[in-house]
Amino acid sequence: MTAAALADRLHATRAGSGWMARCPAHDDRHASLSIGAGHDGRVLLHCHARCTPDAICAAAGVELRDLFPDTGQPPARTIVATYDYHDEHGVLLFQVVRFDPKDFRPRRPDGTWSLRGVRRVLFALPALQGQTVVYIVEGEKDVRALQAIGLVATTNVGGAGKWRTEYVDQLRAAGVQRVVVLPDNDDPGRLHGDTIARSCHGAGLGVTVIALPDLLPKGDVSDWLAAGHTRGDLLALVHAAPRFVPADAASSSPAESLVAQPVLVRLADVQPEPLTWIWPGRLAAGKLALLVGDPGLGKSWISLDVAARLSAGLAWPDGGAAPAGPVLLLSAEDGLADTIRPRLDALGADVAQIHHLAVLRTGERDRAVQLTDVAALERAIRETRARLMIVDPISAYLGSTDSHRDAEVRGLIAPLAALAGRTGAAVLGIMHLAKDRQQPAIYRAVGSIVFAAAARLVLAVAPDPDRKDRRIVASVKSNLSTPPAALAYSLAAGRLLWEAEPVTEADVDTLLAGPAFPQHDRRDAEDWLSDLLADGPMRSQLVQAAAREAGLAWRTVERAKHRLGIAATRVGGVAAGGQWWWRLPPAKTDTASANTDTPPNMAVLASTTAISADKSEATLKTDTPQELAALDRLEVTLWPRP
Amino acid sequence: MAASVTDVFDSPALPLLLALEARGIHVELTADGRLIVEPASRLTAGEQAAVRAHARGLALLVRICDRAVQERRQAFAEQLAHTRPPSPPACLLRPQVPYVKGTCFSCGVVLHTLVFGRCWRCSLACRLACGLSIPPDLVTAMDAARVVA
Repeated sequence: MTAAALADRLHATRAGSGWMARCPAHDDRHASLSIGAGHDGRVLLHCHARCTPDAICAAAGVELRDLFPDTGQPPARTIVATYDYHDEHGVLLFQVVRFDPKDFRPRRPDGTWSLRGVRRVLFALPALQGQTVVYIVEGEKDVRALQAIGLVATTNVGGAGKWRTEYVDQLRAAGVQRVVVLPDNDDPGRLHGDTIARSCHGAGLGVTVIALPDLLPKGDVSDWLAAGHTRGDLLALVHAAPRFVPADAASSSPAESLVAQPVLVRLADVQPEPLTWIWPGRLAAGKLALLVGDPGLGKSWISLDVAARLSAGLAWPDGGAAPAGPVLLLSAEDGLADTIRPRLDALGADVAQIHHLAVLRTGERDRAVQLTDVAALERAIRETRARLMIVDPISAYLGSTDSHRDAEVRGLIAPLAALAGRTGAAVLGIMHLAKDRQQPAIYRAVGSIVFAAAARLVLAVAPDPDRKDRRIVASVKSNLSTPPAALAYSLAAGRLLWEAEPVTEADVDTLLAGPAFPQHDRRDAEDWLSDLLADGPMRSQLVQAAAREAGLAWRTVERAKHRLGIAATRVGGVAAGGQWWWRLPPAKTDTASANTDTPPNMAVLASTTAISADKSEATLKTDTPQELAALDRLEVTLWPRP
Repeated sequence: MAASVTDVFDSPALPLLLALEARGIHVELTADGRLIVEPASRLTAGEQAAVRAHARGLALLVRICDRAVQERRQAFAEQLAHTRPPSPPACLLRPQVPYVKGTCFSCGVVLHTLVFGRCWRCSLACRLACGLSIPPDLVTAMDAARVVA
């Protein structure tokens, strides 16, 4: 029975979207019974005298169940579409009926609203025959939307949560080799997409899962296309997307791996993207970097310093602010409470932004993290939104991987690099050096050369042979930019102290080889440098150029500089700007000089105050080498050296 | 005597520096806090004494002449010109720099201590742009190891 029928029976009058009638269950004089229709077809009754529905129905001569729609019939809603499901040969097996308001009901060709005993097939199965690539979506409307732009697509009856393994068999039987899953933008949709992806991947199909960008919550590919995106946009996403790897596949044995399918990427479909530096020249978003060096040189300190600067958005030692962001830390050698946390505090870290991945937990069981746990690492990165993952040291996270076997290392390091690319997080691995000092630095990273080959950036730490407390970190490999200048640092009083002046042209291979310079070279360099600076200060770039002409290694010149007590002073500029000047100490200088490139104080003061321009010009007249005065200086110490 | 002067531009250090430089005598402040005047042989005994007496004022004037300070002063002066009173401008060289410990919140350079603050260049330039007095002794509060908020 419908609401209208009951209203007619009770001689009700229209009132808005419903009716009002005198309630038959009590002596009603003023039409206090409200009758309406629910959205699902039910008859809604409400007596303002609080008569129960049972009493009203009894008085009206109807059954209570009459108020509900007939369960054997479709609800009183409008059919807006029917979707036919055929088998491989085009035989109609069943239909899915779409109603307005939105609802779906399957029915047999004879009109029975039940699929009991009916073979389930994928939607548009005949169209899948002979196709190699098929898009799988959630809903027939989405299939139609993709078909409209010339793509082969399918879905399963029932939508999310109703995927069956037999559908994969149908795909394989049709000759499909690769599927592209486009989940709806909600949790059931993503779960459904993951189920399909796993199912297809397990059957040996190539799988790509695309999370469509800019989708509203609960949106789907039809909405995405309706928003103005095109087939080309979709294909670009598909070509750029990585292959789907189930969460547990990375740690599965090789025997469980599936037949590899070629996935070709046409470069025309790849959108160029600018490289995003986290630490310019040294750490890049989405790239693998290594920091190598002998034990005890402070590699872990550097990694924590990097984490601290990133977590708090502090400036890098060579200038420029670090982009603030979370950090994921895998540290196997230092205690969290007694070492890492105190160091991070001393470095000014925002420790709320730094997360340590301790173990992996399955049920009640914990186990150590390994780099083969790519899915878990990816989840950790995504959950923490980490911009950097530090692995200190890599050797502690290799598990059973033989670090000296290239093939095994490649199988481990390539997914790690891919992980960086997928998540956009930089990955910084810490590695020790082998003892063979005859090898170039890049070959000395312990174990396979694959480590260094896979990394886009490799930094090496070496001790300064002239100063016990000084270390130098230099680039030994940079695939992404010109190598950055080396930096020097020292560890003192529980802190890492960077030097502002870059160590130009540091030969890291020579540094790593240890002190082995012939004494006569050093003395020659000292004499040469003394002569060079005898006439006054000189810019460090000019010193370098002169050293190259003289055939002197820059490292030798730097040692000579240190032994001669030559001071380096930066003039002007901020961070990497300005120029460095080398100047002999007073006892070593034979003739005096006025610094020809010292900022013209008088001219500046003339613009700052009301000093006449004539005097400013008088100052500038001294800026010529011919007017160099005899060297002697007056020094007044204003504050102690920090 | 110098300590009683409230502005370095009113101190004897200014004419002294100008006189020295007009004669080609170089005055420099090193990062480790040494004021260097050379050649010393050109200095009279009185000038040497004056240099020692007004060393802080000289050092501060040299720092004021730093190119980066002058760039900041210019930037802050423009901010001042475009800010309606009574609100003072923020005097931030790079507004996108985060306000964090150990970084100058104005320009983003590394500070030598892990505190909130400006570097000496931004601090000095801010005072210059706003026309505040700059006591000669301020230079010792603006050494490389300290931070001026």
